[in-house]
Amino acid sequence: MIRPRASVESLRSPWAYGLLLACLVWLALVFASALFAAAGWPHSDVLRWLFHPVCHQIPARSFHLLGEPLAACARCTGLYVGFTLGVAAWPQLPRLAAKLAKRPRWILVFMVPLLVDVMFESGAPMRFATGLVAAFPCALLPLLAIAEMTVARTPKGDDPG
Amino acid sequence: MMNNPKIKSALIGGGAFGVIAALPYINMLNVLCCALYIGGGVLAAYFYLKEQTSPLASPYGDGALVGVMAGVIGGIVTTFVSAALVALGLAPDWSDPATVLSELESLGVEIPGVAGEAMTQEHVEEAILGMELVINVVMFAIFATIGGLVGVAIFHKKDESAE
Repeated sequence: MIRPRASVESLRSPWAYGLLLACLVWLALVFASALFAAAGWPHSDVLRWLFHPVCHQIPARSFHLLGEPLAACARCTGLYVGFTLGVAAWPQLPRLAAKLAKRPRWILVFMVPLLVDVMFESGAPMRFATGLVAAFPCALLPLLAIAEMTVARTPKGDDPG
Repeated sequence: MMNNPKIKSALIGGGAFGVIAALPYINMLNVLCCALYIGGGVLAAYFYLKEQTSPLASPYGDGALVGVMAGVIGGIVTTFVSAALVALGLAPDWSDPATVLSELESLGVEIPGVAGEAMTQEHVEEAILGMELVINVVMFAIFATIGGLVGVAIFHKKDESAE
């Protein structure tokens, strides 16, 4: 068993930066479809189509950029932004990360506002906020997976971080 | 192959949620934060951890692997079960260019002339099915991986003596 502290110490690895880059690209795609549509690019719908299996994409429930809806709804945008912020922030918060890694079920508590919000009619800022709060702690989990793999592959005595 | 707990769990999680994600109307649950894709990963992680008799050395690494495998299986199952339901007349035919064009038009999406012509050419149904397969596998794999990690966070029993 890898102790949580040991995992948290190795959150800053090249793979973690790769994950952050992937999250930024994902987020860029969400915004790019609106930007391209506003610029009159004829194939901007292709970018929107990429997200159709995972989001309802209802324009009335989405943020708009330059008059065009983003490729994901406000809640999904909140989830993506929260996850990306989490991937960037958790390596800078080792004590908090260690506490959450020790009691990972706490991530479910952060999902409660989102589940409550789903049941009630709320505005886009609230949907964005609850999505952000739900996804931020989840971002620690892939970082822990990367840290475990990094530690497992590091010869004894070497510093994985 | 079925003796490998990772593959077995991925087949159960990905297979079950792959079928659910293909069912008309029920698949609308997926627009709720990708609940079905994430659920496939969570179920796969649950069955994987259930098979383990001792705490794992790298639970999150294993959870991610089981999740991504469940996602790939789920994406393939979803695509082909959807195609089978369409063939049986139990679901709208999204690989039929006429259905896609009319649906896009009803949503107010303007179809560029070139795209409209391309969609009415031969083999376009196979091309649409291929694109759906790729996007289903990629999306299912990404979100089922997160599901696998969440499943580990919920169900993994830690070795308290190691802390």
